[in-house]
Amino acid sequence: MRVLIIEDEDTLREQLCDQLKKQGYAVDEASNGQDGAFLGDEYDYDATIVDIGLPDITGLQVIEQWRKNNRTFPILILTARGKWQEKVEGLEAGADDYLVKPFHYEELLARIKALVRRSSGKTNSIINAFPISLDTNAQTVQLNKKPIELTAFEYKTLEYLIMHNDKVISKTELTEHIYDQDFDRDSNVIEVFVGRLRRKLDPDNTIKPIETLRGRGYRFNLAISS
Amino acid sequence: MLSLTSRLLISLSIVLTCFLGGTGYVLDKAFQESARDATKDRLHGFAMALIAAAEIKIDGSVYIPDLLPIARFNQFNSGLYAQVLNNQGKQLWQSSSTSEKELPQTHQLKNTEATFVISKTPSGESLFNFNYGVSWDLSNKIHVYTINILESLDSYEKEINRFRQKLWLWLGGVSILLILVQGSLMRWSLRPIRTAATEVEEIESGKQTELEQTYPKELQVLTKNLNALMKNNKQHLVRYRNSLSDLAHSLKTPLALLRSASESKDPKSPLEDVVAEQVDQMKQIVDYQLQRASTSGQNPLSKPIDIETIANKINNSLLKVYADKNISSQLEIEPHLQFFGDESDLFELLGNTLDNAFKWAQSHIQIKITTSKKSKELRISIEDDGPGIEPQLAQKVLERGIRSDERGGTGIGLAIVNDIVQAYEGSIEIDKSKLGGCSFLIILSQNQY
Repeated sequence: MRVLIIEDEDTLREQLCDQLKKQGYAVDEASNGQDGAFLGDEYDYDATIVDIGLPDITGLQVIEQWRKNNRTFPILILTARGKWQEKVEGLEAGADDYLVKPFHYEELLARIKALVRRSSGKTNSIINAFPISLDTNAQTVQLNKKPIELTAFEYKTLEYLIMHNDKVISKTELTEHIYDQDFDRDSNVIEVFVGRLRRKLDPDNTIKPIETLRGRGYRFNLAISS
Repeated sequence: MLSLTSRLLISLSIVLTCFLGGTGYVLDKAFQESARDATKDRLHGFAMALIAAAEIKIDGSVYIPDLLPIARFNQFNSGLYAQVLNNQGKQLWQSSSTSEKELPQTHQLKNTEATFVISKTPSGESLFNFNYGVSWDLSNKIHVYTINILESLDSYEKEINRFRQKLWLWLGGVSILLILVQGSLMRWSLRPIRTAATEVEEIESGKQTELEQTYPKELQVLTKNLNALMKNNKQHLVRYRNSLSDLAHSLKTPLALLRSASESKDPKSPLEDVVAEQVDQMKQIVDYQLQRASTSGQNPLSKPIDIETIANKINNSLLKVYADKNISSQLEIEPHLQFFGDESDLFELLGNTLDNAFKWAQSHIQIKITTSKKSKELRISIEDDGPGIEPQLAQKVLERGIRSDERGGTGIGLAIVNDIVQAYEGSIEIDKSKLGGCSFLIILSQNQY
């Protein structure tokens, strides 16, 4: 999952980046509204975190610009004042949730997860695609109710595919949403991860959870029960 | 800026000058006219008397006795003169008063023709000049004569001057009287304003806290609003002062705990835990006291705010934030209902109570905002179908820091609501809702001015 953070306070921004990276997110950051707005317009993020009080253009303006440009990713706003008038303005401008500074990182992570889930149409934190079950909070996967061991990258690949189970995901998209920007995009690591995932999830090659569409990408093929 | 008294006096003087000046002018004109008419009639009478006294001889010459019954014709230089001319303009007779006086030129007139003008003698004296044409039929020959009566302007002018003096004396007297009456009326009508000014000075010097006198209807809007504004300001100041001192005092406890933790190195409570706990505590204190200080309370001059718009905004925002919970919220708001107070207060009030309802509701929330016109109350009822609040805890949730909020971790929302409600001299009732959860009924007094 790729997340954009726009926050002018350096310490807070760096801490946020560290925390999110620790949780396995690919993170882009911007310290002012204009850079942030540009990144949001150029790249497709799974979630964005926007501070309302930015020095150049306000967080509200950034959000309005994105929504005007039909950017649909979820937006979490950070407000220092905690005034309802400000929260309502932010939500009306197009944000999906708010958080008042100072906050606990666990809270922020929980909100981001919920927003990503909500934007992909999944309301529950545990996604069941029999016989596979994915717990987005604990970041664990079970096969036939038995836990299976996945590396962080394997988990991220599977999570992204399941979250977007209704569409074909290209290798480029997977790379963008899973790795930080300095990742070598030409490598065939994705193919390796998908191969390993298939062996772990479907050792007998019977349920075929991940389908390869030649030249287009991958698709998660199992039906998801709510 | 010109004082009210001088404005009124200046405008009154202008009106009086125009009115009385105009009146004087018209009266003066009318009087002159009638005096002239009277003179003409008199001179006409003299001409008739001369005709009666005259005898016409057969050769056309005129005989008039030397002593005429009108004494002024006989007196030298009496100011009244007469002459008779024939139709060739030749003087046939002149009165004794004329003597050697040169009289102005006159024209010959036809029978019964009359003219009345002011003309000048060659020496420059102005005279009323009355001419009357008359004809006698003598042995089949018609003789036409012009009777010319002249009178000096002296008495006429004297009369006019006398009249003018009297006229302007009266008009001037009336003006002074009117100005005096108007001046005292003005003092009387402006007295409430002077009283108010004195009272404001008393308030400034601290001897009084509000305008105490009763004022006429026109000023009541101003004085009542002034009183309300001062009361509001004072309350605001008190709230400000209180929350500042509360803030300072309540921050001392967490600070003391942090200091002792940094010194004691107690393994049972590691520094990180103490820091985390006390930082939360301090955040809660700062948020709450800031909100308390910024609560405006009832402000008599604030513009009314449409409640429905704000309630809808907050409801839509919360529906977005709590999208996962699939809550259906039902808003019933009297149309065009207005809130007389601070917009930010209304945002905090509705935002915090609605947020609380969304947080605890299972699936349904009901919001009703109504007003009772008679008692000027705004009734905000918010109900949810959540777990509800135990009756013995009902008042406690309104205190600061009783329930911990997940979002931002302060749990001061309802304490803020309680504070705002108190600033508006209102009340909160917490009860069991018919939906199964909690019911909040907030009643605010709404004094409109």
